[in-house]
Amino acid sequence: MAAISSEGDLDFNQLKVLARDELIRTLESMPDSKDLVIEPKLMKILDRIAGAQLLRNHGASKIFKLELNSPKTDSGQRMYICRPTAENMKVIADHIKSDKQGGKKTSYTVALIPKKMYICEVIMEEEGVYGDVTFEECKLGLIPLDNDILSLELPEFFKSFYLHGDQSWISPIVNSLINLQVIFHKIPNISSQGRCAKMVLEMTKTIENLQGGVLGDPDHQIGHLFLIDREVDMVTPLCTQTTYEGLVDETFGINCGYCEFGKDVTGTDKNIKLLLNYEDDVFEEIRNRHITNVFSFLKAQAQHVQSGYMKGKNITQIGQMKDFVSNELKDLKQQSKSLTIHIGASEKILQQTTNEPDSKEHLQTEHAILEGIGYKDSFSFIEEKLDRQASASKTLRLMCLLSLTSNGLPSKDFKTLQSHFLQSYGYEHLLTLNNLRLCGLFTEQQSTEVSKLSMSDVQKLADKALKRTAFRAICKKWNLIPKDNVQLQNPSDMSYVFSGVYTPLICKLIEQTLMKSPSSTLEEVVKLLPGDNCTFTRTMSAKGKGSGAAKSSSKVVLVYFLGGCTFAEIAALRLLGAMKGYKFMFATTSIMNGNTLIDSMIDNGKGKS
Amino acid sequence: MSVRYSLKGDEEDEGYWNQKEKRQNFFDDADDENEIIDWTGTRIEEFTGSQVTSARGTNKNASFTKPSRPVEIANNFPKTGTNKEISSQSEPKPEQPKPTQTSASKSYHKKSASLTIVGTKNLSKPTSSSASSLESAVKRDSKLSHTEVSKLYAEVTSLKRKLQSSERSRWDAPKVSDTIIRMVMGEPFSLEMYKSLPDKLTLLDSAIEYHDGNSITAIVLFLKKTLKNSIFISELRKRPVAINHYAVYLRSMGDEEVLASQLQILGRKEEAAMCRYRLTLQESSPQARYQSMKKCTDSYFEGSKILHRETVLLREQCSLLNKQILIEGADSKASRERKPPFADCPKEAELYFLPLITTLYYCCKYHFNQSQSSISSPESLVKEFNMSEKQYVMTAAKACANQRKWADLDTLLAPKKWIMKTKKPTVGFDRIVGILLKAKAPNDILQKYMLMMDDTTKRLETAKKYKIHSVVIETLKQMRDLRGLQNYRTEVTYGSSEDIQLQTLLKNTSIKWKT
Repeated sequence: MAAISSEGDLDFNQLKVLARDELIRTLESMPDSKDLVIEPKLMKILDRIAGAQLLRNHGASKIFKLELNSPKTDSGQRMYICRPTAENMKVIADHIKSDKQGGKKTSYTVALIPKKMYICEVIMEEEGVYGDVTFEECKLGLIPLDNDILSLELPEFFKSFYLHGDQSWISPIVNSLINLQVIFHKIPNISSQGRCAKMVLEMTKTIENLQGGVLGDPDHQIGHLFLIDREVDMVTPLCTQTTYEGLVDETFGINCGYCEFGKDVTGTDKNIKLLLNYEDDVFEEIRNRHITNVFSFLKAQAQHVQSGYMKGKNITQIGQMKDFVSNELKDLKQQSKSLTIHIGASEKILQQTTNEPDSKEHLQTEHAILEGIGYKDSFSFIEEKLDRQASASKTLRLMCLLSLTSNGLPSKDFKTLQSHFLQSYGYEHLLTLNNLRLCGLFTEQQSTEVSKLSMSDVQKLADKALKRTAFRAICKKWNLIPKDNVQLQNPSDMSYVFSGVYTPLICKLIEQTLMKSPSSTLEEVVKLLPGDNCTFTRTMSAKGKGSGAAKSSSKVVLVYFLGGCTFAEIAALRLLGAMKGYKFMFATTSIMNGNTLIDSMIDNGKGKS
Repeated sequence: MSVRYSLKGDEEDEGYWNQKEKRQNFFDDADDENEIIDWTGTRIEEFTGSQVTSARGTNKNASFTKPSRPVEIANNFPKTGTNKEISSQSEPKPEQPKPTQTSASKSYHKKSASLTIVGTKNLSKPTSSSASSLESAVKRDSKLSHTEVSKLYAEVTSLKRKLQSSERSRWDAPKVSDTIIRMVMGEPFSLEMYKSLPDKLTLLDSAIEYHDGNSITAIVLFLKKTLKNSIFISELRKRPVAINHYAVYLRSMGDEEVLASQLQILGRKEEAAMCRYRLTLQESSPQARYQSMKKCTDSYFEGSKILHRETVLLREQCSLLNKQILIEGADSKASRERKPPFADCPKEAELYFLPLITTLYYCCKYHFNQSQSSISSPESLVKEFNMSEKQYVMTAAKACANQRKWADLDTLLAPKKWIMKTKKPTVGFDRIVGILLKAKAPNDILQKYMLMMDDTTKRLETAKKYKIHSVVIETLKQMRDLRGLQNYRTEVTYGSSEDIQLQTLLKNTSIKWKT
């Protein structure tokens, strides 16, 4: 039960064990040997918690990817493991129907992660195969990606909630939160910001009420919970991250903790998939560093490894040799393998910024936009980038950033960028721009004729005007854009994650709340943020009074990002924690970056909307 | 689904939602079922038939899974925590929530499980004892006294009564609030019994209040099935959240036609219009897409104030497609007949559906010097779509560079074209150089245009990076940077023309170097 390791960190391994148990339970719900058909997106998640051997030990004979065609196999039992989406259900129903036509007799179990949605039953019923299927729920909630990061691995959540208003995933989020509080006990202090956070909080309360457990618990291992909507700060994900981990994610893409490096990085003739987490010593040392500060470390480390090998060469006695081979050599080999890849990766990242002719300008423009200077230059840089048909998603990132920081573009500029974008990348991207508009990422300032206004309109307009300058006002109040040069080598300011140009807003909000800044300034800023803010402290249960055990745990803070978070934000909070003596733990619906965000918004009419 | 309801006595149902009572029985109710089945035996089997087994998930008909696990743990852990002060020391209880064990024993050892319950509660039915060991049966038989038997009979009658009442209430609708909570908790539920409109709407409203999307979808679909369309629509229109979920459902079903028409009726005209537009893009033949796009614009976009801008853009897209059809028609014929401009190189790809800028590039590539009146000339395209000078120059420069048509590039960039408006060129030469670099233009061309870059620092940087020595030297001279020139000597091959250029400069005493 007690999930505290020696250093007072939370032990996420317990979650992994629970997840594994749940997976085993699901597998055993269909006794004996069976074929597994797994949705491709879930492969990596299952890899993280189980691995193929465990699946085999619990009856999996063959493992297939879920595809349009039914797997060719004669086994009498088949288990599907997938997300509860309509698309998946239809594919499975088709499999069953084609199996039946082929005269195959098979029994089917559909295991849904993390819960069965109503629509799953509806589709199976409509397709006429309801009677052939047994549903199982496989309640895999938060997956530990690292020793301080938990993720639901639901990258679709942002789009489904903020664009389509789909609230189906609120309940899995709530369940994950309740489970966390079962393992680490009830969290006494809770703060939330945003629409989704509010819903999650309310539903959690409802369920806790039903279970009769709203009171605080003196044994709590987490002192403070922050539930924060991604929507609160959309600027951060659009900025180019400048920490090593952030850049690796933006350049190569980290998926469920795994990153695949191509031949140009590994220096061999094959790709290498690497698990990037605290177990990789080299990575752990450089992940939070500013990119300019990575190479020097890697160089020193490479020399260290080399001298280690040299030591081996100079050994003359057999006893020493044995010692060297059995102890140091293994470490050295491990280190040099990991060093090779990280050196290759950082080289590739730096090359990108030097080789691509306008990448430097791109970064300069991004910084100018954040600082709110040189609007005209930024605008024409974006316009030219569009006209040159440069990378669409990178340009969109700048367009959205420009719009967000000016809280909507003036009508004329909006139209110019809109038509140049469509002319360069195809008019069908009208759908993309429409998505971005609905999510508030790329918008036009509303122009209104003052003479036609009623009183209520004036009020609304005044509110809008307030929001219009909101970004600038927040930046000013909280000094999000540092005036002095920020140290990047030995950072002491969270803005180092964006080369000292911008402090991620959510991180600042957390800092201000924890540091108990005068409530008036906090309120002034919070008023400008989207969604409601809510802070409360649980009443302690009677038994818990007078217990002093909570002291060290009150410095443990869990930040739950709803809609995704970036590695930059994680790095910034790790720094804050180190400076102020807090231990930050992260939970998120998924890890995101600007590219994944923009890509999720892109719609050119092909495929599903 | 309703079976589980009938299995529970009224009393039990009340305790179910009682907050004070720990919800342990909530999730252990599989055991309660066993208990009832076991000793009211035949009767229950009679009226529930195979569905009883299905409720435990062994039959394929099982329509729902076991009670939700997260909540299950949630329920067990606090129990140890709060009841026993120090949780980690309560020995046996933490073992309980191991789901694998409990679930396995439930499904595979049903008989023994039910027997143990019977044993502990001392409620065995004498006649059915054949299943257990003889010894224990004998033991129990000998122990039973008359009072015990009559007690048991009394209990049997009371349970019979309960069963009857629950059989009756099976057809009554449970309280809306109860059903909603079952839905939110992911437990089995049935909506069939809610026949009155207020009930239906309360269901919907409370699901919205609980923010549970899955329940909202379920109830919306139930309403759709059981209400007249006009009522369904008018009630949904009052509840935007419900419309969202309905739309999510329709979208996930993949029928965008239905989605568009429903959104239209539900008052979301703009969303519906975008849906229709999306549909037109599914047409793969250019002519058909042109027709359907035109129709879509006329009937769903035209006239809407909110969609004014979109209408303009759609019209543009229509005319572009129309233009592409015309050009493609003429050019593919020319290409087949090997007529210019396709005499030596046949056309590669079709023009349809390409973006405007790409189309412009195509026209620059094949029809660069055609007269403005020709439909495929770049000028006519620029004019028709009101494109900016910048767009034109950059695209044309790219086409010229890629085709090594340096003379054309010269004409394009000759200052007369923009001398009318401003002295500054529309496109900076740094951009042109960027395009040339990408097209891997030869050094002499690069040299020529690099020297036109205004920003000397940038020019120097670029020239150094791509090792265009003469530009570096010339720029350093312009910057009067003697040290830079001296340092650059190491970069230049000894005896080359650049070296000579450099040496001459260094010897030149008339230049006033910066100090």
